[in-house]
Order: sequence, then structure tokens, then C-alpha cells
Amino acid sequence: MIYLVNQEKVLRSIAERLAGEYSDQRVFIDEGNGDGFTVDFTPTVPDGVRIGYVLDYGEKQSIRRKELQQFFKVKRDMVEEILACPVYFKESTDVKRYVKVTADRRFGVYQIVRLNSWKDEEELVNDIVLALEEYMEAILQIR
Amino acid sequence: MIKREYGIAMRDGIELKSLVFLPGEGSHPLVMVRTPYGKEQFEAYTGLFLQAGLGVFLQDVRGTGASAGEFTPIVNEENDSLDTLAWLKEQEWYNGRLGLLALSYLGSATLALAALSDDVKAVVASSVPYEINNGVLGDGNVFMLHHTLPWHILTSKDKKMVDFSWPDTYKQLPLVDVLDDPNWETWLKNMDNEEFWEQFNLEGYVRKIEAPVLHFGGWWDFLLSSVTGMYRILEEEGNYRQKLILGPWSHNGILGNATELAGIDYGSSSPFLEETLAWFSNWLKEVNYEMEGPEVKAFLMNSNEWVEGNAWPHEKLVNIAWAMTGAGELNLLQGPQAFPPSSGAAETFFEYDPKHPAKTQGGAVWEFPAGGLEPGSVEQDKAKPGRALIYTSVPLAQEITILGEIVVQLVVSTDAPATDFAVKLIDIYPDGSRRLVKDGIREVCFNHLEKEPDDRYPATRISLSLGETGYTYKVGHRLQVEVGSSNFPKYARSLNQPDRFFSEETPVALNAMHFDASFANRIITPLLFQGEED
Repeated sequence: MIYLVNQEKVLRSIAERLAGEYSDQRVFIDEGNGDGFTVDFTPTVPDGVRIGYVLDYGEKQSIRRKELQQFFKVKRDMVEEILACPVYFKESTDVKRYVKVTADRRFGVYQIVRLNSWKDEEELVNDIVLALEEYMEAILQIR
Repeated sequence: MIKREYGIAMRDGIELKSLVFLPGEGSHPLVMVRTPYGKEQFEAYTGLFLQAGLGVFLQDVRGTGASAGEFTPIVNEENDSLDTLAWLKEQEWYNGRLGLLALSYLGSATLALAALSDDVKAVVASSVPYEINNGVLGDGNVFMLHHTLPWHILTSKDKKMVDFSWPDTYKQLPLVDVLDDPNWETWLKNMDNEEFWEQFNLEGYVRKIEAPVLHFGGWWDFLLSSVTGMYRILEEEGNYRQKLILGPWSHNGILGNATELAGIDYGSSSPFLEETLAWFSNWLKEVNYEMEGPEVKAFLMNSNEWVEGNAWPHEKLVNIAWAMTGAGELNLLQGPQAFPPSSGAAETFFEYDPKHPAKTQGGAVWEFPAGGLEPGSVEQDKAKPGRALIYTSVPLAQEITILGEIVVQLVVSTDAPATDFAVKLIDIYPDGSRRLVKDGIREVCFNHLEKEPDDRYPATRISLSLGETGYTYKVGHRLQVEVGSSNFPKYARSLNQPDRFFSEETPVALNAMHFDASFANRIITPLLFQGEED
């Protein structure tokens, strides 16, 4: 599945379409001041894409990011309702979508979305962009 | 140098014997070791710390060494470590800056302090089994016999070390009768009881650690996943003061100074002592210290060089899939050296007889003296005909470096209600010798399903991890994948039924792999990207 598509080509297409930056197998879409959304693949969920919302992207130390993590932990019920998926603490290949609330400097609070469109790169790009737009909208609503 | 001996009373009156080494008069930062293996073992290392101006505190945990009480793994360590720290705070020779040497169980014995006390200013962690899946069961839910049994013997009051002999002790059935120790029986009885294992789950402590942590992991350490797992958890929690060092060491070899393992010379020994000393010196003695340099250093075996980075998994990886075919080939599915997988048999069978399990040869095993196992890239015997399936690549035209977690996806079936699928990744040298790179196993239970008309359970897709490595395949070498159903005694053998601990029945299973045009039997290797920068 994921390994039959050219991951780099898919991510570069997403970066181009959404005016993001591609680097180190990850797309970053800067919403201003180094805050924004990321897209990458994770080997732990082979048919999934990881869509993150992160503050101070790449900065090692960020109190804002830690505060955002706490905020999302407190709002867990709301996150689950708006994103219509559970908040997990471990990676999972059992559910279609889930959210993990971290303060990681590369992907922050992220959603894993497992997709079926791995044979057609164009279709895959479309599906990922759609999932990303849904995630962006939900984050705006939660914040 | 000042050496003092104390008996420190815990809240229930039990006294824990402790040794303190100080570099001189006055108050000092301390490096703490709490151990079930005898505190005197660590006296040899105290000189290094004392020379650096650090004090050392050694303690026998409850029920071990000279300390009173009963040893029950994990459950007393939070209270005992907190009580010990409360006592330390009253001592005029302690300056309130504590470092923790958290190696394996020594880490389990101090993690509560790391999570709950502001006194902890630095941690050096290696192989701390913070949950059942990196301490007792492997990733594939199979009991890690090779170290769990000797560990119970080592920590048992009634030590039967002299009676332990490979291979007889491991082979005995039922497994529960191998050792007359209440902890052993309790563990086996509760293997599927999540509530029981929750009392040993230290992940909650790990998530709360705010002190700087230096992580050390060995490619040949059976607890490697706990090292990289702890690093990733702390990344998730925003702990930005971490360093991860990964190299060609076994569980015990991390502390040693050998450059060679299983006959292979890697050209450099573990930098554990110098890195540990520098870590504690910097963080315990300098109040405003901030770390410099790369966060991650990983040693690549065979190219014998270090690669640096600032993330784990490493940022410069490309996942590449290799397909196993019914014709016994292992073909790249993508990339410049790829060629179309050929066809072959639609299914291939092999027999698994628990009375004759495949013997563990190398890998990430514990070098317990009486266990008879050697960690590392050990040369492999050829699998017995009909007992395993083999898939081999063409010789590599270009060097490749695997860095990170290797995942295997299989389509399998069996006629047994439960069995295991065990996989080895092997490096075939140009001279024909075969050396182990990584291995993994997965338990598959079918007893909730109906059998098909051919008296077999339906073919099922499974995924299993071979764990993480840093390994370079040189030009002319070939990759080989071996699929069988056992790797014994690294893992407790499946008895081809759901129970592997209390039964003596050993029915034979006929296991199989299934192939079609989707090439769903794959091994996925994270390759270090050696191309141009963006």
C-alpha cells in the first residue's frame, strides 16, 4: 500500500497545492510565526497519514506547545466530538481515525487517518488534502 | 574519599542497606543507583564519579542484597525511592541535586523519583522496561523466555543458578513448573490479565520526566524498544533536553568496553561511561547548563560509522518494500534496483513441531552465563527442509543502510487453533555465510474462527516488527528472509494451542504462506537516504 506509492512525490504535490514547504519527508504549512499544519507518513500505521497541528514548529523548547497540549487534554471530549474519532495514547491500526495529543515539535497534536487510495497517487493526494482541510477546520473550531 | 554505610528505614520500618561515597567534606550532588543485583557490584565505578566531584549513593532494593523485606518486582519501588529521597534531604552532605543511573531494572526502581521529584536534575537511562510489551512480551505478544526465566532465577530468594542448564531448563514442560518461585507462577497465570500488568506499567512516570535524559540503546539489546520508546514518549511530552545514542551493543555490553560482538569487530566500544560522566557532570554541577550537539547518534554496523540527527526515527529515511514470492525470491517493489516480482506457487507449507523448535542463534538475547545464548550477528544454520520458508534477493549492486524499524507483512494460515510466525532477516555474505540481522515473532490465534472445508483456518494478513537496527548491507551481499514458527528459547515456543504455559500437549501444525498478484508478503526496510540535500 503506502510503500507502493512514491511518498516524496505525494508530499511534494501536497506542498505545492497548499503552498507548504517540503523537507525531511514532511510538509509544513506555515500559518504564521512558525505555527501551522504538518503532513507526513508514519511507519507505525502503514496505511495511514499523519496530519499535525504544531506551534513553534521545529523549535526544541516551546512553552506555548506544552500549553496547547494541556489545552487539548482538557478538551478531550470536545476534540473527540468535533473530529468524530477517539483520542488515543498509543499508535493503533485498529481504527480508521484517531487523535494523539502530544507536544512533539514536529507534528504536535496530530490525527492519524487511514486511507484506501494507495494505488493512485493523484487520488491519494486528493484524499490527504481533503483530510487536512477537515482537520484545519476542526482545529479552528476547538481553539 | 569518604565511604559510609547506612540502614535507611522505610515508612513500614523495613530497612534498606545503602552505601554513600563522597568526594570530600561538604555537600555534593549525588548519582543514585537502586539495584536488586547487589549494590557492591557498582563500587568499581564510583571512582570515576568521585574524581569528577560527584557523590554516589548505592542501595539494595527491598528484599535483595543486604536489605530486609520481600522482593516483589516494581510494586514497592515508588514508596521506597521516595522514602529514601526524604531521608537524603535530611543529610548535610547532599546538596539537593540528584542524578539517576536508570539501567534496566535500576531504572524501574527510580522512575518514580524522576517523575515526582524536583531534586532530579539528570537521568541516564538504558533499557528500562516501562511496560509489559518491552519487558515480558515481545512486540508480537510472545513471552520472552530467554531473559524472563533467568531474571526470575536471579532475583529469586531461593536461587537455583547451579541447577540451570541450557537447553534442559528451557525445554521443560509445562513451563510453569520450571521454576518454584511465586513471582514466576503469578506472572504466567496473569499473562493475559491487563489489570495485573497495570501495576508494573511505568509509562505514566516516563511521561512526567522533565529532567534531561541521556538514552543508551544497543542494537543487540532485547530491551531496545524501551529505549527508543522512552525517547519518543518524552519527545511527545515536549522534553527537549534529550540525547539518544544507539550502537552495536548487547544488554550488558552497553556498560562494557569490547569492540567485538559475535566475532564481528565494529571498531569502537560503547562510549557509555564517558558520556554518562559528562552528562551527570554537566547537569548536576552546572546550574545553567544547556546541551549542545546532535540529539541522536546511531552507529551503522558494517560501515562502522556514526550517523547523527535530531530525531528518532531519523529524518532521512525512505521506506522500501521487498516482496516475498511463491518462487522463493525476495524482490524490491520500488526504487532504482527494483524489478517485477515473479510468480510462483500460490501457497507454500511448512511443518511446525513444538518438540523440535528452531533454536535461537544470536540476535537480541541476554548473555546470561548459564543460558547458552550469544547476542549479535551470529552465523545461522540452514533451516531444516520443510520446517521454514526462505526468500532470497539477488546480490546488491549498491550498498544499502537500514536505519530504524523493520516491519514484515505476511498472509498466513494454519490448521492449529493458535501458532506463531517467526521471521529472521539474514545477511548472506559473498562467501555464502549467513548472519542474522534482526528477528521477530507474532502469535496468531484462530480459536474464535470456524475452520474451512480443508480443515484449515482461513488465510489471514498479519504484521510483525523485527525491531530497530542500524545495519549496512555491502555490495554483493544478499538479503534473505526466513519464515518459520519458532525462535527458541528467545521466545517461549507456541504449543499450537492458545496456552503455552500450563500444557504439556505439543500437537504438530501445518502452517502456510499464501501468494497472489498483490505481493502482500513483504518486508519493509527504512533505508537511510544517501541522496542530495533538498
